[in-house]
Amino acid sequence: MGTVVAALLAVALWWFPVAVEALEQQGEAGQDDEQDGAADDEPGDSSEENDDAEREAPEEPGGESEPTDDVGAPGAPAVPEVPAVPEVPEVPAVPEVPVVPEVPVVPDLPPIPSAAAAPVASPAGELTFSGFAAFDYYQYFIQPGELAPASATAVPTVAMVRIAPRLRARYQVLRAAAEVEFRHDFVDSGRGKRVILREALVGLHTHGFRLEGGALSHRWGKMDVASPTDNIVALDYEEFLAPEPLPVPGILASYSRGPVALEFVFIPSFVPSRYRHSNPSRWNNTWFLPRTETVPSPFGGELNFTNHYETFGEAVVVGAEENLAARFEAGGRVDLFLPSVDLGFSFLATHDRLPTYTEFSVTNVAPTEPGGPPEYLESLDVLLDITPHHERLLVSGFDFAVNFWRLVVKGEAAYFHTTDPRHEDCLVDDPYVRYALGVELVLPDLLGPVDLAVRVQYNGDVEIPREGDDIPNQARGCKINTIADPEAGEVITDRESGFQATPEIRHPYSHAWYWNVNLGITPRLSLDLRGFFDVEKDALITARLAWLLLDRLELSVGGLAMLSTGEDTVFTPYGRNHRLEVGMMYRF
Amino acid sequence: MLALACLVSFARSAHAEDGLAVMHKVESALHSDGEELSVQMTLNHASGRSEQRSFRMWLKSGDGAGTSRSLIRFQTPAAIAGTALLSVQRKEAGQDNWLFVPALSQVRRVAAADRSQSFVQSEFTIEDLSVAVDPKGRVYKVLGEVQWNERACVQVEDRPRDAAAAKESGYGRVVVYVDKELWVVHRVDFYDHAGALLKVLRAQRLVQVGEKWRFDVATMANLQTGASTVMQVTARGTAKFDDSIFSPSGLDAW
Repeated sequence: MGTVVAALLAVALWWFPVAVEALEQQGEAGQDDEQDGAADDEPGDSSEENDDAEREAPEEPGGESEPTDDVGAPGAPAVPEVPAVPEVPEVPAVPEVPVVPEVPVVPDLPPIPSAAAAPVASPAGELTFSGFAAFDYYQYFIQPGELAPASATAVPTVAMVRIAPRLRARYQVLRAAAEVEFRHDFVDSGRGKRVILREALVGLHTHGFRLEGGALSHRWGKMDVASPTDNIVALDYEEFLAPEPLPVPGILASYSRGPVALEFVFIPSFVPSRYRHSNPSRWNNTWFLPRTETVPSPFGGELNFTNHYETFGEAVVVGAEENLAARFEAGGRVDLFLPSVDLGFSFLATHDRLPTYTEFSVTNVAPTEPGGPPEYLESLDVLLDITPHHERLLVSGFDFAVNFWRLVVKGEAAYFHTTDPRHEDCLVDDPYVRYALGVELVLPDLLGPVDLAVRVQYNGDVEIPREGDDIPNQARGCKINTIADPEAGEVITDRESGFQATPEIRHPYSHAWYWNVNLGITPRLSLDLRGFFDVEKDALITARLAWLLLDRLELSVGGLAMLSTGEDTVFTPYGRNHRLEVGMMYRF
Repeated sequence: MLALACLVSFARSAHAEDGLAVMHKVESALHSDGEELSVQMTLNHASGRSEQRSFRMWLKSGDGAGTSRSLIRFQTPAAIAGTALLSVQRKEAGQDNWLFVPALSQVRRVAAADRSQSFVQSEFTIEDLSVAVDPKGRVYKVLGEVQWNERACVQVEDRPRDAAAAKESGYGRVVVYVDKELWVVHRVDFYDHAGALLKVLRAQRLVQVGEKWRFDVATMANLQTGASTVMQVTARGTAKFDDSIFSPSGLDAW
């Protein structure tokens, strides 16, 4: 402020005598006008104003003002010579006065906490140990006694402990990692006492090149759930509604440079997904196998195909019976990371990790004596041995994610080319396209500390009938179940049997909506809601309230409600599995 | 927006002509062939409780296209260990962000609007951690000169040019205190959309690293809640690293 005042004073002191001189030479009216005008001007304009003053200054400095009419009139006294007015020195420009801004008063700085000094940001070698220990308890509202007889042995509760240590090592360009989960369910013996390998890798990373080998848990795709292009890892359907990824043995090689990333994956031996067939799991997957059925017997009476599916043969990887190399899987992917847009193109030669169909053979056949009568059934209650088949699949995929306003819009599409060269096997799926389109909206700090994230996704399937067919095999409901006729000289092993068992489980998100609302109530308290519904009127909702304590311990409470089930749909056998969930997880 | 400017900047000598010129000098002072930092972050809650996070950060800027990149990998606490945030700021094409969350095993593109989201529950937002001079969307005006930290600083006001730009930011306006000689940022005042002073970022421990000047401590205080966050550099790496670490496809690497 002092600088401003000084500048203003300097201008005023220079201007004042000049103005007085001018006023003495002018009439009263002119004087008033000029004075008022000059007084109103900014200091910076003063030099121009003084030029005006100079032009209007009287010829005789300091003399009395005379009416101009008298000048040169006859008889008038001689006018003395007016000395030249000294030239007014040029007014120096007044420097712009900087404004002194306001500096808000703020509280004292908090003390700087002590910190362990690190020698360098990234040491050449590093070993980290981490993991978690968790306890999960699920209480089902409907108890086994209230369920259908087939599910009478289902568990009333789940009480499960999980411990998963993880070790990661890095030395220069070398990497190694291992994670194992020990799981024990105190109620469901089928679920409990499992050791699950989550990760086991060695590799090297250098200059954009990455090579890793071991148990891969690598994922492709951009969707929140059911990514059509994500077919590398197997899935564990123990919890049918939330399948867990299971790593597969393989090699991953990738290279990235600028906005482009290339990736190759090789899996020497196919790994099928895991699903439960037996009780007491509330989510056993026998529903997609042939149901109990009664058919006329060629021997008279009726044959009962009863649901005795405890015995499963080893999964058959189609084509691998003759050639072990046929078990391999391989694929590649190109990613482009462009401004506001991510694009991905992928191809994977794989096998369907869920069986395309299940072949079954009769197990209660009497032994055939040499030279004796042909095989016959020991009883009309037919016991079946199940053998799942995994067909070769060629998957070509495309995915994208784009920023649009506050949204991230993402989508995927994949063409699944199934193998049935002779187009004769109705048990093999016809080719199909799976697609998904989703949108994500995140509104941070919506109300104070409350964060809101909303995600909505639609998944659909389009089956493409092979040439000459009107409807695809998936919709045909193909089932072969013929019984040998002894009178025609057939033996029981001549029967042909099969069941296209799994179109539903392989397409759980066929024409379905998925949504997720996550509400961050406080930084440590969040509510997560998820829902699913499809065109067959299957619908559910899950809720989970999680409270993070001390950065390491998380407590949660939630529930699952099967809102609606269609008739003979995926959810039909699970319609009474509403439950309450309580959980605790400690991370170390 | 300018939190990183407190931790990373170059020494330059020039005079500010206008706000945009000053901000360009701050921006150019951030250009780097590669910076690697280990950072400890202390969250001081209004209740008096404190908690800590630690992460590593890689920064690179100043290529021909005016693109700046930053990668942050969290080490502690256990709940967020392994989480990685990659930001690419393109001069003409805006900012792209990707997030890797280990529990999801998936790299996700994050919407630009998420920039006003709190950075791991601290008083910093993602917006605070990026430096973006945007003449099309923002107006930079020199307010004057002040003494701060016993240094002559130019005060530059950064405000949105229009309503659309205002919606992109979590702040109504920002006042930056720029060192007239070193072009490092000593202090930033963040005002909310209602015009009230919301947060103040202050830098401490000015150190010289080679030809460059750095602050080792940046403290963000929220004046409306009483909470604060101290970001402290515990180590600086000088090893050269490859651009490939800034690829979203490598976010799941370790």
